[in-house]
Order: sequence, then C-alpha cells, then structure tokens
Amino acid sequence: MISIAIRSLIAHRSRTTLSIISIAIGVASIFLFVTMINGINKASTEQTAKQNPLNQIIVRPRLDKTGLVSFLTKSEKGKLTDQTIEDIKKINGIKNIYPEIQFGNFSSIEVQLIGIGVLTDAMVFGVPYEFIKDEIPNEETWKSSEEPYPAILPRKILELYNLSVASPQGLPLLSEEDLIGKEMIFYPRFSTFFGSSGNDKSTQITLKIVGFSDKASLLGPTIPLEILNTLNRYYAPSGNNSYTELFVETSDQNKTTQIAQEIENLGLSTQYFTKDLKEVQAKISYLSIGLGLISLIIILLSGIAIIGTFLSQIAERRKELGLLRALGATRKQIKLLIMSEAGFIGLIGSTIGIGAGILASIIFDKYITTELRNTILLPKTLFCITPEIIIATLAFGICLSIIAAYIPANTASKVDPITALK
Amino acid sequence: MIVLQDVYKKFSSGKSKTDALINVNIKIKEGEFVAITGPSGSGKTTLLNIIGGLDSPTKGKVFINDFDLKHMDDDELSHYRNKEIGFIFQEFHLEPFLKVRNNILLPTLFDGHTHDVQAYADALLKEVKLVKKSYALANELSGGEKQRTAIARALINKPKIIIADEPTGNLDQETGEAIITLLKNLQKTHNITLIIATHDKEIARLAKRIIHIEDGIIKRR
Repeated sequence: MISIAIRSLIAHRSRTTLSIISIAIGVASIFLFVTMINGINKASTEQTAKQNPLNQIIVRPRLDKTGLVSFLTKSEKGKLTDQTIEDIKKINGIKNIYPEIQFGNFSSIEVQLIGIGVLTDAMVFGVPYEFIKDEIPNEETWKSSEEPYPAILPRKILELYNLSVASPQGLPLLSEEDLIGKEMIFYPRFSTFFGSSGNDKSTQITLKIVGFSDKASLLGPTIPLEILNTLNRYYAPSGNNSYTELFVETSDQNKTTQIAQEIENLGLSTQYFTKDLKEVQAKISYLSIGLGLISLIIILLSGIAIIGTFLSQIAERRKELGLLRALGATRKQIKLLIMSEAGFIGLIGSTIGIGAGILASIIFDKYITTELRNTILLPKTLFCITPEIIIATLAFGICLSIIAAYIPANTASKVDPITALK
Repeated sequence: MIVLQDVYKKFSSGKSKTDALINVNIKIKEGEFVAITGPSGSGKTTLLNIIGGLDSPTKGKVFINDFDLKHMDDDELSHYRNKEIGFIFQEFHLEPFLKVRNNILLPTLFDGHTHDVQAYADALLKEVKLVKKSYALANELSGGEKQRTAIARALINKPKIIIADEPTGNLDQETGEAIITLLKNLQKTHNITLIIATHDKEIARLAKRIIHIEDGIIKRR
C-alpha cells in the first residue's frame, strides 16, 4: 500500500508539489516562531541568571516601611542594618551576605569620552571585594587605598551608550577594553540637577574604571565598600547610613525560594532568579500568545490548502480509486492509502520547511548581528534551535498533513466503483 | 455455482425510475464459459456487477457457492471481489503510473495470499506473452497488451470466476479474437468460470452457453 502511495505521489507530481509547498510554508513559519520564542526565552533566562545567580537573593527594604515618613524621621524601621544581617544569618542555608551601600549625598560624575566631557548626576555604590571577585581577579586592584580609587561599571550601561547615544549620533562605539583604565571625576558635593548653596565642585575624587559587571548597579559606578564608608563619613555624615541592598548567597540553590520566603517574613523585600524569571516569562507569554495566534492562522491556511488539494486530487482520481475498490480494496484501505500519501507529503514538506526555517533563522541572525546590533537591544542570537523542536515540528507537520487529509480520505473511501469506472 | 433468484434491479434518478433487471433467474456452473449478449443498455453490465459484488439487487437473491451475497458487509464484499472474482474491463483500467508487473500484482496488496504471488506473476506474464514488457509502464502498451495485462491481473489471486465486460470492445478484430482465444484457453487451464458480456455474436458463439438479455429481461439461456 505504501509503494502505491509513493508511486501515486510521483505520478501526480504537480499536486504533490503544491501540497508539499503548503506544508513547508506552514512548518517553516511555525519553526521560526517556536525557535524565536525559545531563543528569547533562553536569552532572557541567561540575562536573568547573569544578574541574579540561582543561589542569590537580593534583599531590599520594603517600600511601605521606608517611605517618606521614615525618611523624614530618620527612622531605622524597615531599613537594612547590621541587625538585619544578623537576623538573616540566623536562617538555615545562608552561605554569605554581601551588603551594598550608597553614597549619602547628591553627587555627580565627570568623564572624558572620545574627547567630549560628560558631566552627569550619578549615584555611587560600595560593595565588598568578595561580591565582585569574579570580575576583578586581582584583589589588589580593588583594595587600592589611594586615588584613583577603583570603580566598576554595569555592562548594560555600555550597551545603552552604544545603542542610544553612539549609534544615533554617529559617534564611535565603545568596548570594555576602551574604557578600562579610564579615569572619572567624582564630585561628592556637586549636583547638576539639585544645585543649592552647598553645591561645591572643588571637592574632586578620582575614580579609575577597573572592570565591568552584570551585578553592578545600573545607577552609577560601584567602588570598594570601605572607601565608600570613608567617603560617607567625610562628605555625607548626615546621610543614610543603612545598606541599600543585601546580596544573600544560599548554600543550596534549590532552597533559594524557601529562604527568600523566610527573609520576606522578616518584613523585607526580595528579588531572586525564579521570581525574576517568572516575571520575564509572564512578559514573554504575551509574545508567545501573539505568535501562537499567527501560527494558528498559518496552520489553518495550510490545512485548508491540503484539504483543497487532496479533494481536487480525489475528484481527478475517481477512476483509479474506483478500480482499487473493484479489485478488492476496502474503504479502510483506501483511507489508509490517502492518509499514507498525506503522511509522506507531511514528511517531505516538514523536512523542507524545517530546512528553510533553519536557513531563514541563520539569515535573520546574520542580519541582526551585522545590521541591527547597534540599533536595537538584542541577544546574540534571536533563534534557539534544539533537536526537540526539530522533532516536534517534524511530527507536527506530518500530523497536520494526515489530519487535513482525513476528510478527503473519507470522501475517497466512499467512491462508488461502478460510477467511477463508467 | 452461481445462482440468481428472482433478481430485480431498479435505478432511480430524481423522479424517473429505470428497470435494469426484471425477474432474472440464472444458474452458472463451476468452470462454465458463459456469454451474456444483448444490445447496449439491455442490463448486461448490471448483471455482471451484481455477480461481481460491485452492486446489489433491489430485490431477489444472489448465491455464490450457496452463500447469499446479501449477508456480506462492505469489507466481506471487498474480500469476495479480491479473492473470488477477476475483473476484465472494456477500458482495461490499468494504473498508468505502474509498470506491467506491478499492475498485475495490484490485487495482491489488499489481502493475504497463500501462494507465491511473485512467481505466479512471472508465470502469468509468460502465459499472456508479456515477459518482455514486464517493466514497461502501462501507458506505454498497445491496446492488446493492455488487455493481456488486465487478464493476468484478473488471474493473479487465482479467482474462481472471471467477469469480462466487453473485453474486446476497444480492440481491433484480430486483437480481439486473440484475446478471446487467450481467455478461453486460460479458462480451461485454470478451470475457472468465465462470464463474458458482449454484443459480438462471433465471440458469443465461442462460449458454451449464451444468455441473451433485452430490456433487463432474460430472453434465452
């Protein structure tokens, strides 16, 4: 029966080609959508993991407890203090706690970029070496106690500069290597926005960029904790002495969620990988729904095209089908014959569709990496192709073809041999 | 033994009704060569279709070896057509995209078989003198070759009955005579019941018995 199906497909080349094209287009589109959603999902998961490793919880004060009233009254309630660290340490499964503090006064940073001086308000943060040691392999670089003080910048800020400043204005793009070793002037008593009688540009502290990190705050440079403590003592004695954030490292990544719950029970706010990922995936799900709807339309159109092609093919093949019935083929066998043909069309169409999808994804990716890289913020690759997706798409294409051929197969099985052979 | 008892067949098309067969009673013995004659539209093909299990009577009974065809469902009728009957059509009805050999083997694909069909196909190709054309496509054959292929196909499942509806209708006289001679010889060697519908009196004379039908009524048997 399969050999008849194959021979019949070869004999009806034009119809077969048409059906194969319908399936290939549908499968290629679905393949592209699925791999794109998978690619975006993977990229966002990787990005989330970079910013927030699986065994890390970022602890912040709860906004409802550190609001304006708390700020004005200098209340310690809900803030991150040494006592908070002690309370968290009591929870089982805590490996390390790294505090982050913030410079307690309005301040600004000046830096010379490609010959242009840029002066902007910025926040300055302090973290212990252990927290960023992966980015600064040489501890001495971070522990320098003399000016220029070491500073790290968030990687994202470089991407944002290249994307939103350099590209639109035709300025040269900057890399990490270009900026490492570059000095910045930190004005601890000067603000470009909040100018007042106390605004003083004469106090200058030199910082030197020693590295980049995904863990560093997006709001400004991060310097050694000890140095920021000293700067706070000198230049912001009345400022807030509590910690901005605590980076809690758990000993078992599987217990991160549970530990985060316990920290939240202490009246604190937490951010961790699973929580971040859920939020990211919730956002991606909208895209998935949109692409899913487009896929559904494509599937319907492909299905309709197959039904139409097979129905007209069956009308043309009435004599052939009638003869098979006369020679002893049962209705079930005729159905099987048509559905086998559809299965083969599905197999060939899906294989071509997947091949076209892979090719299209390579072309799109190449376009993205060369043409759009500096125009919009994109992951390195937009499509993530896995063997599971290939197998599932192949199976889907075959099933779609067989399902779409069911109605024509049913019609074929009802062909009356007497009228067909007249 | 083929027995038709009080068989009626009516065709309805809208309000008009046509009596294709009226009170047909026939007995055909095993191994008999019977010619069914009559003018066009007399009911010959309808009669063959009913015997071959392609159609059912409106009224009456059809027994094949004492088994009433009425009691067969669609699958059983398919099996009956596949195993018991060999069909030969005026228009040959070969699959054009299949080679001669594969056309002959076509009926063997639908049901199990107890004999070596490949060897039997070779033997039949020899009998119908088509060995050299075994691997030619059906649409590359002449009319006579096509009908010889159809004859071999009708015999491949070793049926007990061969039904041939105007088998020479699309052939010239010489080729037609050769086909009838071939069929007659095969009928003898394979000991099968051969029922031929024809309006050619010369061909009918070769049969052991002639059943003449006019307007659906058997006139002579």
